[in-house]
Amino acid sequence: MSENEKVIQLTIAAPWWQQWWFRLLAGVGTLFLVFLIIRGYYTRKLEKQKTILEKQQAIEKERTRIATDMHDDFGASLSRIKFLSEKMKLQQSHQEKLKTDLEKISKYSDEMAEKMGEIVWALNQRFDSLDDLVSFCRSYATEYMEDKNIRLQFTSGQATTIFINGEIRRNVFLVIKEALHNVVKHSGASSVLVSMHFTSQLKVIIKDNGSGINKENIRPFANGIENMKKRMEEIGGTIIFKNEHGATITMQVPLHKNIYP
Amino acid sequence: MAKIKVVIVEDLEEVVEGLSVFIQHDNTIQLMAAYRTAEAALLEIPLLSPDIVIMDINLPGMSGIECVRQLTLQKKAIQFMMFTVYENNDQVFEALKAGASGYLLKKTSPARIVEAIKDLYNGGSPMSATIARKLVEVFNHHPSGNYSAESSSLLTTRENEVLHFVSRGLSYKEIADQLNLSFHTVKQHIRNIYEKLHVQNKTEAINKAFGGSH
Repeated sequence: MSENEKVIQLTIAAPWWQQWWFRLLAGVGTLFLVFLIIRGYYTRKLEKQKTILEKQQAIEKERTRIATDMHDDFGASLSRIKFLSEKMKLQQSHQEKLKTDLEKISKYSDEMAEKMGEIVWALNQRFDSLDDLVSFCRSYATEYMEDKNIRLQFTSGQATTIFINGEIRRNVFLVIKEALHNVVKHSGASSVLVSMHFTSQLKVIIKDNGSGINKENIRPFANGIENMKKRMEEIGGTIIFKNEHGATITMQVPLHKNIYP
Repeated sequence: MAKIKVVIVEDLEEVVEGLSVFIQHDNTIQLMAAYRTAEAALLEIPLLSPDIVIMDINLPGMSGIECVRQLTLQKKAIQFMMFTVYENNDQVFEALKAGASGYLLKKTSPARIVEAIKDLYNGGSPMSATIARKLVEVFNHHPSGNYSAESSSLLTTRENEVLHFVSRGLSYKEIADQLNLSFHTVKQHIRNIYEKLHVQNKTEAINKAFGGSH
C-alpha cells in the first residue's frame, strides 16, 4: 500500500425515504389502507346480504299470506261444495245418473282441496326443512297406498333440519307422487320401496317389482317421465330411470345452494 | 247400547247439513244440536253434556280453539274433535293444546267421519307427523326439534318412541310393527300423549296465573 493513499471515510446520509421513521409511517399507512379496503368490502357485502335477506323475508311474508288466504277462503268454499254434493248423493241415491255426477263433483272438490293443500304446504316457510319434506312424502305415500294392494316400504335416514326451500320441496314431492301414481296405474307391481337419504345431496330411490318402464310403447308413461325430468331440471337435480326386476327411479338433488347466506 | 251423543259447531250451512245427514244415517250416533257460532255453543253445550263435540276452527267471532279452551274447564267428560281443512296447521296444534283430543279433516269422506267419531269415543286419537314434531318440541324443550335420545320427564320411554316414529311420518300400523306392539297399544300411547299435553298446558297456565304473585 502506498503512503500517498489516504483513507477518507464518507458517511452518506440516507435519503428521507430510507429513514426508519418514514418506513414505519409507510408501513402503518399501508396497513391502514388495506384495513380500509377490507372494511369497505365487508360493509358493502354485509349491506348486500342485508338487502337480500330483507327481500327474502318480504317474499316469505307474502308467501305465508297467500297460503293463509287460500287456506281460509278457498278451503271454506270447497268444503261447502263437497258436503253439499255428499248430502245430495245420499238423498238422490235412486237416480243413478245424478248420483254419478254428484260423485264426480265431490271427487273433484276433494282433488282440488288436496292440490291446494300441497300448494299451501309448499308456500309455507314453516315447512322449509328436509324433515318436513320426508314426513310429508311418507304420509302421502302411506295414505295413497293404503287401499291399493301394493306393499309400501318407506325408509329414510336420520332426522335432519337441513334447510330446503318450497320450490325444491314441491318438485321433489310431485315427482315422488307421479312415480307412485305410475306404479299403481301401470306397473302391476306388488311392492314398492321408497327411500329418501341425505349425504352430500338428497337421494331419492323409488323401486318397484312390476313390469318396468316401456318408454316407447306407453304414452301416458312418456308424458309422466318428461314431466319428472323437467321438474328435476328446474331444481338442478338429476333423474335416472332403469329397468331391473321392475322399475327403479333414482333422483339426486343438490341442497347446498339453498342454504341461506 | 247407548248412542254416542254428538254436537256440531260449524258456521257453513252446507257443511252442517251434509254432516248431519250422515251422522243421523248411522244408528249408533245421535246428533243433539248444531251451532253456528262459538258463543252460542259456549252457552248451550254445558247444559247438553254431549259425548263428542265436532268443532270448526275458523268461526265468526270467537274461534273454535277458544271455545274448546273454555268448555274443557267446565266439562271434563266432553271430547272435542276439531274439524279442519288441513292437518298441517298451527291452529290444529293450538286446539289440541287447548284440550281437543282429535281432529277431523274436511276432505274426509262422510263414512270415515262417522268412523272417526266412533274411534274417538272408544279412545282413539289421530296424530299427524307435523303435530308429532311440535309435541316433541313441547315435551323436550328443544325449539329446533333435536331428536336425541334424551327423553323428557313427562313422557315414558315408550311414549317418546311412539312420538318420534309419528313425527317421522310412520303410520300407526308401521309403528306397531317396529316396536312389537299391538295397534291398539299404539293408539293408547297416542291418547296418553295428548292427555299429558293437556295436563302440561293446564299446569303452565296455572303457573303463569299464580307464578308472579308470590
